Amino acid sequence: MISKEAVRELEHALGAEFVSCEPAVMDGYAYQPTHAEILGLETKWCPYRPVAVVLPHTTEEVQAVVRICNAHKLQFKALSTGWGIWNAPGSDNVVQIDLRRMDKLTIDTKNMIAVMEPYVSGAQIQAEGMKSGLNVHMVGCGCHASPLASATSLMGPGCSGITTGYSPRNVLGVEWVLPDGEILRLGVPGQGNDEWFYGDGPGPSLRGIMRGTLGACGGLGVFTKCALKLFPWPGPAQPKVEGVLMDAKVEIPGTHSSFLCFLPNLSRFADAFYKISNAEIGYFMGKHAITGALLAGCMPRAYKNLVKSETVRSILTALQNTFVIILCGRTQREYDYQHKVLKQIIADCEGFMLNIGHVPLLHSMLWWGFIRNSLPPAIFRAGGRFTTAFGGFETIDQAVFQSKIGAVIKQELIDSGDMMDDLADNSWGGLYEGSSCLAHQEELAIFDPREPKQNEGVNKYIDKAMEASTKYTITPGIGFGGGGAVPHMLGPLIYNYHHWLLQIKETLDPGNSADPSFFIAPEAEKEKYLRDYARRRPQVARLVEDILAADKKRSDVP
Amino acid sequence: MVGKKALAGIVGEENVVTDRNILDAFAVDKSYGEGTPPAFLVKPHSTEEVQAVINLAKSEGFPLIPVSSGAPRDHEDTVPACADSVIVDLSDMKKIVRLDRRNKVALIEPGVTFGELHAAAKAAGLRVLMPLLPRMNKSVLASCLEREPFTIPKYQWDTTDPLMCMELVFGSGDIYRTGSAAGPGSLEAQWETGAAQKNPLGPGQWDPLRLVQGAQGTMGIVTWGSVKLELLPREEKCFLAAAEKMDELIEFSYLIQKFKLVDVCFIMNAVDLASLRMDVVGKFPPWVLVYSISGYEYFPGERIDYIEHDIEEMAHATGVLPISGVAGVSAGDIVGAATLPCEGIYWKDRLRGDCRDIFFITTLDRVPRFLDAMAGEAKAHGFPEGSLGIYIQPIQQGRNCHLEFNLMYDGRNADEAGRVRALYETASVRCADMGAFFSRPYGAWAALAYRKDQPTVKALKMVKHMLDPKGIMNPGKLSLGTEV
Repeated sequence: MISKEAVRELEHALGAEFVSCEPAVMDGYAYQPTHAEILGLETKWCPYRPVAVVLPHTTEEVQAVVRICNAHKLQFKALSTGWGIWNAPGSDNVVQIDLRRMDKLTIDTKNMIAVMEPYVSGAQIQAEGMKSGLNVHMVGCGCHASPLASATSLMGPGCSGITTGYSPRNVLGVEWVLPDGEILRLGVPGQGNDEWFYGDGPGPSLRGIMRGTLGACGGLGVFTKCALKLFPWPGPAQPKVEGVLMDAKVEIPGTHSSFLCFLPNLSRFADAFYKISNAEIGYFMGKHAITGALLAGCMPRAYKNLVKSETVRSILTALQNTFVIILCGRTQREYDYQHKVLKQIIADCEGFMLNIGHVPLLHSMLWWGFIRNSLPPAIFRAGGRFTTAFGGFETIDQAVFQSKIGAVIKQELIDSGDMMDDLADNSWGGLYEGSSCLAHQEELAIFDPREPKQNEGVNKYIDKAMEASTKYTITPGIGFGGGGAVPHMLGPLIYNYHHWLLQIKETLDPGNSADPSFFIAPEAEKEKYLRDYARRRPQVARLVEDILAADKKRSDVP
Repeated sequence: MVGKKALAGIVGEENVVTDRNILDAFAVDKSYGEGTPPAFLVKPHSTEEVQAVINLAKSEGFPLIPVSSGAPRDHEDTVPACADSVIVDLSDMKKIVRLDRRNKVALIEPGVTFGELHAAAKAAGLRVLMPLLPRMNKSVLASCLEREPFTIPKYQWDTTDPLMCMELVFGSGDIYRTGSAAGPGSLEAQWETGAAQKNPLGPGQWDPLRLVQGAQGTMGIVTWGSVKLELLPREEKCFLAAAEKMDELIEFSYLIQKFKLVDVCFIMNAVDLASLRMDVVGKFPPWVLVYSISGYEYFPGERIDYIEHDIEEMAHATGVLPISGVAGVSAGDIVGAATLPCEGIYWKDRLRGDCRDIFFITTLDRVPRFLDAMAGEAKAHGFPEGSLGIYIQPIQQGRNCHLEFNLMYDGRNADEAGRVRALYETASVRCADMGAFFSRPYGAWAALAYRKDQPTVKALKMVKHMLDPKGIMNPGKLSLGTEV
């Protein structure tokens, strides 16, 4: 519950119209469209409603809200564009800070830098950037999402990464309201000149406590501004597009084309990735499970019938090791060179490729869908929901290994009728940072949440994926994001990283006012978090009991 | 004060140095730092020995200063600020643990020098991302930890590059691994599933590599690290663009980097170029942009050809003329000289015998105003224009740059040395006032860098307390206090 006095103070700080405690409004914030299953939840409703929702307009207003929360022993949690369960409150004492009124964007075209507030979407930055020949990295969930959020607080891969890197490494400065209400500016902005061109130092970089593979998901305060790198866009300043999603028609420059590349097996698939990375070609490149998730997204009903046919199934399976690459030449010379190299690489890897440019309408849909990053919502079409696993960043070989293991796990669950049949290897992922040979692949699973068996199957899949990560020493990706109980479970396997997270949390937020539910459960709440997690995911109950027993043994030592 | 016996018990008697000549040399370096000679120098050979030395320092309360490059030292970061310190010299830890051609990465110990890694990488068809002419005995990991800029900006996706993962011992005595190297599993088990310690982020929701990089040894001691390498070009063509004024090169430089068309890319004035190439017969133009174009495994000549033509158009549009050589020296010779470890006399010392550097981060479009300010300061201090080298290294794919002024002088001339020191101090303050970002705040620059950013100092002190609770790691640096 929130006291009337606290509400009054919030209204005084922000204006009454930007504070709400209406139950129906609160419920709107207790619903997030994805990933509830990682907590073992069967619906998209989160366990807790916020006690109030506030909509600040400035950093100073965010600061005021944080201070009021501290004074009234309330917790707070910020969200910008939302989408996943990690945006939701983790207890029944949380003020939700909705940052949608903070939506300013400026672009330094010369130095290829965008400075943004939290509610600026990828689509907005891209539209503004393209006018100056620039583009931004967007995460796989779509162009609606806030790049600030993925760069500071969550994860950040998307398939333009071969050109645009990936979010956590694109940061050039941050404004951060700490859990006690103090403002910390990382890098050049800390000098007070409102300049945003370098995000590390002086000396050690405090980006090191801001985030790692994953961000703190609101557990360390509120990020109110950040500078991100922009990347070249060798295409039209304002693409002429008619229609949306699958019906999009667009004028594509003559120096751009998209290719579907089919490889005979995962080993040759990996070889092709390495060769493309080394050749420094390609603008956009990703594995999109063209015969799985993408096809199911394009024609959900037909797909369910298609995979029942043994013949069609064998064709789709034979074409499973596929990726999409878009070549975007700034000049005809560049395009011709890249095209020639790609053809040679695919031939050397015993594959074949289709130039989708020869199929104009399909090309329109795919080219714009991928460049604009507007296709991701199609993943909901086949089953209503999806989940994902693995996704640890490492070499191309290890990313491919992750999808291989993921497919084995999924096939068992498909065979036992626990999962929807999507041909098992339904992974998506990309190549990052040009020639770096850095890659990631997540193994997706589409499911129908109305089917209890599929819900159960998804839970089994998530647990088995975590088990496999440990068994095969795979660096966790998505696995790090399972909520505040997870670091206590994974930490002992990974240099006790949870001990350091606890110290960071306790140092920056001794009052635990920033909702820790997707960062790390504080020591005092560890047992509650672990037991809650085990209750929803019975498969880990034994591990949880072992951890708690070990804790007790330690505390019993005089 | 710690005794020799306790240290010898960890690293062996032969690895504890007590020679006063060697120890006293650490009390000063090429910079203006003056400190206290250390009590001992120890040479550990393993992570466990490093950890034991740190634990001893914690319990006995003496400062540790990690060092891994050979002499001469510079920048004051290895000059002990407190008495009774112990230098931890890692130069004997020089294994190249693994060099992975497919994933273009090397896992190396801190004693591995640029000279050594360059040779090993070249044999595998790879190249090291090196700063401009590093000293042959410069430690690769030390350079990475100091965030020294390297000469191929298109390969720098983030400030931490080319450093990927590392193992270290924090000041707390805890051994830790960063990025994907943290596991689960041993390095060997990770290699078996195709991993190569290439993801620098994490583990989990923090990124300790960033806290140790740029820390001047104040947080812990690194015992190995993985560094990314790149393909050695099959073919390479080098160019220069000369200009009377630096401003004339800015637009062209932005363009060729925006599209990652060039490999090696930097700008120098005539003084630095002359110092780089003392054998030149003619006279260099006032400003030269140096760049190379490379061809890799597929159709290397055709790659160079299309890029050369694309760049020609950019040059034409921006009023620049690419040339293949100047003053009797070819562009290829300059690139060749600039991208190898430096043999013999360090290149900045060749012209006058000594050199003092002022460097910081800015953006290319902001550079001209710093050039004007520096010219004004040099004139005011009677410093000759012909001794002022200027090196501009675009970093992070051209989004910002390392701007470096090289004040070349004769150190044996006390009067000249005094003027250089006065110029160094005044110009540093002037540049800081104008927005220069001293991201690597050595010595007196720390006060300049942190004077307007107390929240960062407060947060750094918290981090320092967390990673080095007894304050034993290189106390006195970075405005983080001297208490041990």
